[in-house]
Amino acid sequence: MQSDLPEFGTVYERVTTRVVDRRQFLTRALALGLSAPLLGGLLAACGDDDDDDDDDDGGSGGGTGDDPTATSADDDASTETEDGGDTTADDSAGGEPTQGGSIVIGVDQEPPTMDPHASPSAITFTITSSASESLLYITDTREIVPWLAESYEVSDDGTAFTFTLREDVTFQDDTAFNAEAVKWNFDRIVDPDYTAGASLGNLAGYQGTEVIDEFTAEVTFDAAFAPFLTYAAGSFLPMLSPTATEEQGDAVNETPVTTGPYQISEYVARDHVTLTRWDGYNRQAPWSDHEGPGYLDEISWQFIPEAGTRVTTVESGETQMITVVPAQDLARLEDSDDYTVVKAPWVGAPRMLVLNVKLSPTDDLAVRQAMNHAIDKDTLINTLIQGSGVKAIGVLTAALLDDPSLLEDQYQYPYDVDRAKQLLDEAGWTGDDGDIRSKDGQPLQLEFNTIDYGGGPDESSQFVQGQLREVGIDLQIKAQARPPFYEDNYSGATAMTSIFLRVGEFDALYSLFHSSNVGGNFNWFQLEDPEIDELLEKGRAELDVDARREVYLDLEKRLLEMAVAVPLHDDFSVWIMRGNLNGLKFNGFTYPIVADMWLTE
Amino acid sequence: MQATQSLERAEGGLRESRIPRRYRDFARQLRRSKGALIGLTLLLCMVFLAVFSPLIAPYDPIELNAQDYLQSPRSEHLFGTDQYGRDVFSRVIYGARISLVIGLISVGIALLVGVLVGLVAGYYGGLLDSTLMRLIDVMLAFPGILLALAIVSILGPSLVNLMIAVGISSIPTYARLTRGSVLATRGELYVEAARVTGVPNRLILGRHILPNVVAPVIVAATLGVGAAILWAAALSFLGLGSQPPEPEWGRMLSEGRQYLRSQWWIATFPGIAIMLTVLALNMLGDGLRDALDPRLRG
Repeated sequence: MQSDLPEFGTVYERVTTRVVDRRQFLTRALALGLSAPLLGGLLAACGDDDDDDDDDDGGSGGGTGDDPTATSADDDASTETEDGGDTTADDSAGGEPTQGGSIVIGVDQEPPTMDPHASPSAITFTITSSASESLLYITDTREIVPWLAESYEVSDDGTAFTFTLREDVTFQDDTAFNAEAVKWNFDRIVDPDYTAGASLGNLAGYQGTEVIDEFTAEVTFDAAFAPFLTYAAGSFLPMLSPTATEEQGDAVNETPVTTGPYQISEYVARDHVTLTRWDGYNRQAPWSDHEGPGYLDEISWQFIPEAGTRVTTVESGETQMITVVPAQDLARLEDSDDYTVVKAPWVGAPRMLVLNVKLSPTDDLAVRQAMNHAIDKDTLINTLIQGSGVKAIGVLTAALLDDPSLLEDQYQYPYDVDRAKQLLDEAGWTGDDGDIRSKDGQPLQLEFNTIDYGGGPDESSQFVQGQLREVGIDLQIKAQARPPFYEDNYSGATAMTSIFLRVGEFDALYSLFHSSNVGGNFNWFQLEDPEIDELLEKGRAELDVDARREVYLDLEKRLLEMAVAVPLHDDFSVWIMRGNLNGLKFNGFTYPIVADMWLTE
Repeated sequence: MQATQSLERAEGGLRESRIPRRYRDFARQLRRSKGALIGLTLLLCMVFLAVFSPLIAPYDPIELNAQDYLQSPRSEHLFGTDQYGRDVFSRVIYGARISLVIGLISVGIALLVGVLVGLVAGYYGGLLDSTLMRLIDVMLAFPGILLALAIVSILGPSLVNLMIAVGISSIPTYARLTRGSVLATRGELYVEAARVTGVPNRLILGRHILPNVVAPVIVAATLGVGAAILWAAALSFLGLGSQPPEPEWGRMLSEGRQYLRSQWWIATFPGIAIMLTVLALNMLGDGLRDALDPRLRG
């Protein structure tokens, strides 16, 4: 790649010596309208540079080492992410990567489907991100680098994206990867007969893909769609083999065929899914430290819903790595030298309470504001969440969008029971202290729709219930299985529910708040506000990076003023590994990349 | 010794009417069984705690108290505090209320339906008997807890639905038990006598048959309350019973289970409470059976 760019020597040098921050460079380059092949080459160079740096550092795993950078602006997170940094230092102590061996990873849920185009659920992407590849790749420092596409070009109006593809790629079933395959994948997602998941929103306004030549594809949209580059690089639009997928029918929900370094080889319902190394993998993935297939022979993902059991399995050696760890165990495991604890702040929307603006009593702004004041997030984090998250500052996580202006009181609603009570009194919701308030004979009561993961609702729901009771709000927890939980959310059946999104794009807000997403994923607020819609559309059309950020900052402030949500905490993606496991990385959507992991003897 | 006893009994039988003698015997038999006495004492303690829980419990069982979060057992918090800073002792005491009420009401539902079905089926026989018993057989084909699980899943999780579900699932036991006893009693002379003198069926069932089949049902019901409490706790553990923040023992177990390794008290004390209550009911039930079953009398 570097050799392709002699005329850009100076620029390249400035980038690699970090006179210009790479992100800034990208921004400027895009703003200048640099032609895509050159830009792509430069980006690839940046990728190479990354690897060179790592080598100099002594072969550091790279992934988590960059986390402090990703969240440096987030003061709250600093202590926790330092831990992540330390952890990476431990990684490098693992020495030279060794070939072979297999590991078992314990996860908290079973994916609804392994088809990454069909799944709405983070657990699917947690697994598929290591086994599949997309056109571009977004690094954990949120840079977009080439992957299956060598380069890309964006039309001036932001509606057409031309990808120049690598020519040496085949799917695991030997089907050639080419422009036809790209077209087939995107067409599949928007096909009305197909039930797409998170991928569908990533192709909003998709008009079609034109096969310009065998290795050039042009994807066009009805209107400017700035987030598409990030989406093309994210976890939701990976490439599946057209021939294998059509042949295998429903089996795509279990073992989709990709181009990645690991094959999804076996799926056993309610038990595990296995990734087997694909020896046909012939290149260096953007997150990888080497060319060719991965180190481990087999990576098995075991579904262990019970948190305590999951922790026990990593302690007994039945699993080598687990995720979603109860706060109590996390502290204990962090103190132990036998385990490596990695925490990466999720990008996307934080865990927040969704307030239904169409249903009483949350249709009342005062009630929503009072609820915001009534919930003591600091205590929630200090008790139930502990090291697994930090206080949320808005409707996007600080890892995605952080700005000091968001910290003003009118957006943050500090914990203040008296203020909450006063707001309710003023709005006519009255009642004696200790009683449930009411207005015109209607008690201040609302239902909280939650998922029962097989042992009741999650812990914070009772915390919230207790806190709201303090100010005279009666919260009824409705814990149910996933399908009815979603149904109720689509129809807006309850006044409150909760959500988090794991997406590395500001545009995540579109799915949460645009009126067109009422009744679907994920406008469970039932919000239909022309001003918000306009801002969301503006954000999609804005190609300038800085201007875009401003749009979303405005949007976030407006939403916080409307108090449509109670942001609770920005979660970390928490992973516990046994000491002999190395090389865990994360992509720019904070999904783990385990394809470069290896075992020390 | 035995001869003297039977002689006394025979004499007593001449002196007193049938019913009081039966009760006197029963009380004496019960007193003789240590297990039954221990069970009864424990149960009375639980009932006492349940009735007077607001007076005994030192704290509000549902109010959050974050600064006292996860405290180990100590003088201010006898059983420690849970992850929301609530006093586990107070919650266990209030839990006695919920659990006993669940036990009694579910068994009440089961008795009401089960005994009626058993009486009617056993007494009338024929097609009615066959139909009712085949229905009961269908219910019996499912393990009780599974049936309860299915019912509560359909009705939706709540305390009332839980009691209904556990109640319905226990119906077959009582129906079959009652029917068996009715079959044995139906042919007795006094029943025939009542019938030939024109006593209406419902009176025969109510006055002559029911009092004579009630003993095994009482034993089964006592044991059944224990089982019902256990089932209810199991279903609540699975999130299908009581809803937060009610201090139901099964749910307390569930909420404390992930803390078991470091904060053992959260799940252990409700667990002990369940164990003691069910043990008390089982011991009492065993004692009652010994006292009421003529075949076991010395």
